[in-house]
Amino acid sequence: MWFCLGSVINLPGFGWEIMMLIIGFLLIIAGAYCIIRTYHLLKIIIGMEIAMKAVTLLIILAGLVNGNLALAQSFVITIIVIEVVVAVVAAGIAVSLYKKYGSMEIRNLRKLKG
Amino acid sequence: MEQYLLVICIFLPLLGAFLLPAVGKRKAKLRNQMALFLVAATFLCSTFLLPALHSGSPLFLHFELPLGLSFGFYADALAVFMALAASLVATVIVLYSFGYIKEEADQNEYYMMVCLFIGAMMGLVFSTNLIFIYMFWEISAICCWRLIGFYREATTIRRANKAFIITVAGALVMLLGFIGLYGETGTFDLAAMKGIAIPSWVVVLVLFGILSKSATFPLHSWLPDAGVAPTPVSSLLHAAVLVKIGVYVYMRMFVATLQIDEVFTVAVPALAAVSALVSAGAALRANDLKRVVAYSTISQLAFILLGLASGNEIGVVGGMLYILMHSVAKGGLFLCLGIVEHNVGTKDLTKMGGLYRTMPLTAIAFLFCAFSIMGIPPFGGFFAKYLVIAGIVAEGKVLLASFFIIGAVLTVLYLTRLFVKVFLGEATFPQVKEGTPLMVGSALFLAVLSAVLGIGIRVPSGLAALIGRGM
Amino acid sequence: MPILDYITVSFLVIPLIILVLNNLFSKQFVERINFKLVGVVAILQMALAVAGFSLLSAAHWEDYRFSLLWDWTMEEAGYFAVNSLSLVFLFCIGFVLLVAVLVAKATVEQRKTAFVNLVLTLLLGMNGMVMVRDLFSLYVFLEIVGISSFVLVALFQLETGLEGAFKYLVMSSLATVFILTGLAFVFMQTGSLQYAQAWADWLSVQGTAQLYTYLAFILLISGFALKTGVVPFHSWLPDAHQSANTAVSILLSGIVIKVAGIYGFIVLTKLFPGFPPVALALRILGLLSIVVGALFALRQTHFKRLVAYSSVSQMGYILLGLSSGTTLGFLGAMVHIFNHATFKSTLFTNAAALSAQAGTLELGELGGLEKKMPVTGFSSITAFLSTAGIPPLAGFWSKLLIIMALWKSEAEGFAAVALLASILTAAYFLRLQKKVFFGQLPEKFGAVTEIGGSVKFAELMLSAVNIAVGVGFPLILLFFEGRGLL
Repeated sequence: MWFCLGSVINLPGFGWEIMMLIIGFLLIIAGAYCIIRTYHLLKIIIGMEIAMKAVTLLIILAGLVNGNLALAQSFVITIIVIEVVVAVVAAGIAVSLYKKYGSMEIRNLRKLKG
Repeated sequence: MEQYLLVICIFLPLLGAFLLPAVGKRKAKLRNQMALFLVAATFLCSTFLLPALHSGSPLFLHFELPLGLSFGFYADALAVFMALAASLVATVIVLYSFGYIKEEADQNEYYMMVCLFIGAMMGLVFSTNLIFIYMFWEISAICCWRLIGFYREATTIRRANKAFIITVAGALVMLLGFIGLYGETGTFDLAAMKGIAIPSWVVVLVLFGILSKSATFPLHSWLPDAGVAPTPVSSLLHAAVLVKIGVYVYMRMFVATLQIDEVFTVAVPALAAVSALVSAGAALRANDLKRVVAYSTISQLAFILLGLASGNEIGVVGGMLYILMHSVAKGGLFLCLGIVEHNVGTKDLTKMGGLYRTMPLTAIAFLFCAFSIMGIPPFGGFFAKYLVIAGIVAEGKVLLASFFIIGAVLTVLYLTRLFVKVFLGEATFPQVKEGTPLMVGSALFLAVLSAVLGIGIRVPSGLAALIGRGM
Repeated sequence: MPILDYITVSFLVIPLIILVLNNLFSKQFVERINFKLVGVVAILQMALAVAGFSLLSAAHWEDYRFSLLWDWTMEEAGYFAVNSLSLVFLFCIGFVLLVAVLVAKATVEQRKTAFVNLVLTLLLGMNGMVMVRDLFSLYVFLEIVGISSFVLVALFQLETGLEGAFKYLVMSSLATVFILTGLAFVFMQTGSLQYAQAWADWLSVQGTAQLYTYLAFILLISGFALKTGVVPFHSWLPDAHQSANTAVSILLSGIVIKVAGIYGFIVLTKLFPGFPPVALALRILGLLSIVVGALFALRQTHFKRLVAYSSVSQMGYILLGLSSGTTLGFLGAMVHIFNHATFKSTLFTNAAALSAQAGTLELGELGGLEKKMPVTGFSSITAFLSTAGIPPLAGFWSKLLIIMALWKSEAEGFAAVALLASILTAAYFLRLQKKVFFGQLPEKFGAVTEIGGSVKFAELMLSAVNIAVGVGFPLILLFFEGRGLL
């Protein structure tokens, strides 16, 4: 199947890039699905992280394809650092919400509407 | 170098208005005098524009701006005529306000908004650029919003908001028309687009604005509702500034500057005819003093629009005279009603009667003004109404003319009804007193003026003929 | 020109220095002066932006490149650069920051040091965003802006603030995912993320690889739309702006959504030059935002939430201006960015005054405050008229420029709807005025007085700017003409 797609989209190589691409997209979709379908603050944060890790995969792929892997690696390291900060902030907010409501239930968040 | 007159004429009331609240915080009396001074000086400056006009070289100011914009003022016959009519009536109204408004809490805002209103009117009539016309148009809408909602009660606020929304919506559609016009011609400058034929869709868009501002059917409903304002404000809206803005822009754009399709010489008068008859009928049925007169204004505005849209010189001169005569007479009428309503404490016609015994001078002033609006010779209104009808007949549109004659007859009926109900019959409020000398004096002044303008019709008609020739 | 070097570098160095100073000394000492320091930073930033602008235009330079500690002249080295666009943004940032600090003096009572730290980080992030010249650094600074905003919203640990911050964070990280995936595609095609490089290479892309162009384009548009909060990506914006401290709302609504979102769109329009879907996408998003945002605003019952929806609506006008692709539309959008900063800050400042004096922002509970709070009433009227695009206030001119540009680029339908949607704006603000300032004064507000001090000063200053820009706009037009822009 990769080979069919590879011939449709004119990439160098024979389709493992396409495979990586699809895995990356599947991971992003999995992360998004996790955000949408779960009702637990921490699970939402995990979903966000899955999606972000998928993106780093895509960037490495991009570096492989255009031969500029060093640059791609430096990008990915930076992204990972930033993601850790975002995850920490998110977890901090989640913990504060837990202290307020006594649970991590997302359906507690009903104060802002309209 | 007499351009400074023109600048004074516009910016004196416009900027002076902002000084009034500051002055009023310390000395109320000084503020009143200052307000009167601002408006009267505007009137005087407008009269000083006449010599240059008669010598054939009207005063003007002009600055070029990019994007087809320009900042300019031009004191041609049309502009000066409108400025004179508006500032004259406004001066009398400010004088009258001294008596009417003196117990109210927020006089600073009142006088500021009135002066700003006059300034916006002056700016609008002298501007030569559509965008600046739009700007002054909206300034007048803001003033109107604050003044109609002056009493700040739930109903007045709702009515003020209604007036604001309708006029601003109309103005936005008009602005769209202006931008369309800009797309066609590449300029907003009226002088640059003189004599250009414009597409009908632009005319229709601009007409929306005009009809909403001039309270013509089907966008008229805000004007009767605006009667909740203090009566001098109603007088200002109906007589001096607000509703005349719409017909002025019609005159300025579609008669004096641009060429429009033939179809509008039928369509606009036809719409005006509907407006005249519908509102005259409503005036016959209304039981609120100010609603009757407001419907009457809608009806009379239709006559003005008829004259201006008739497409020949007689009609246009008639329309212009009508603006003046209606301003003076309707202003006077409102001032009389203001005295009645202020002293009696109700606006309900059915509860009144026999007031001529206690308010003889008011009754006489009312009668004079009503005669002028009905079109009874030798009052000024007669000549204007005659010329307007003569204009449409000269175009061969006898059917339309007959509708308007029915409208004129209805005018006589509802004004007579109003007079009879309020001033004749059994006295229901025997203890009511005449208004203060200043208030009655202002009303009488406008009443006498409408008679004088009729007897000395040569003076205003000379100026109006100058406008007609300039077309 | 070394002086320009100092000016440009100081946009990044000054926030850093103040950030260090803010944490160097004891809390008691710092909290006495740190708001004043931030105010000075804001004024300094405005002054430096003006100075830089005049120097740049005096020298007739397109842009001025610089770096902090590395040699940017090396091949493929990243660098910062300022041009007139970024200087305008820097000026707006300084302006909104000044207002936010003035308001914060009244609204922020606890955690002052933390607040100032975060505001300075936010400033650093925004300054960096408008000065970087490659997409990846743009992302890095975008995240700095984002993270400091989340924490600012959540800072005071209220239930609403935490809720708003969490929603903001989740949506924002989705935006990050979109933007980074888009970047990955751009990187894959061009091998570089520097603007100049990417723009040049992007044009040469042909054939089946255009699929990636479309993908990258959709992802980047969605990402920045999420950051701007335009319809249909707006769900987080009212929550975050309503629940944050009012000083933070001023920053978020006044400038953050523009730097994080609109500036991204500006980069995008340059990244995809002459790519027809760009204009179309911006137009559709813009129009949807204008209409839907205004319709939502019509039925809000909370002052700040209404004003937040109004932001959604106004962002639409800016997008429409950008979509025209002409200089006129671009100028209109820029002027609208500044005007929106002015009038939206005014409205949020009013919110701060109302909640401080009357103790509530629920429209149903307020009423009749016009006489009690004349300055607040007056400034909210100027802001309302300006937002609704009613002359002679500033908002009218920017809307006029945008609509003229749309009309000229043959999008008459969009121009017409955008213009007529102003009536919705007027309608929801009339409702606001009626509920808050007119009508019957509830008995419990008998003792309410006008707010004093810095908030009153901010209200007066903003109204003055609003009126002055509106009345003096012909001069600004002449200035544009003198620079050959019109």
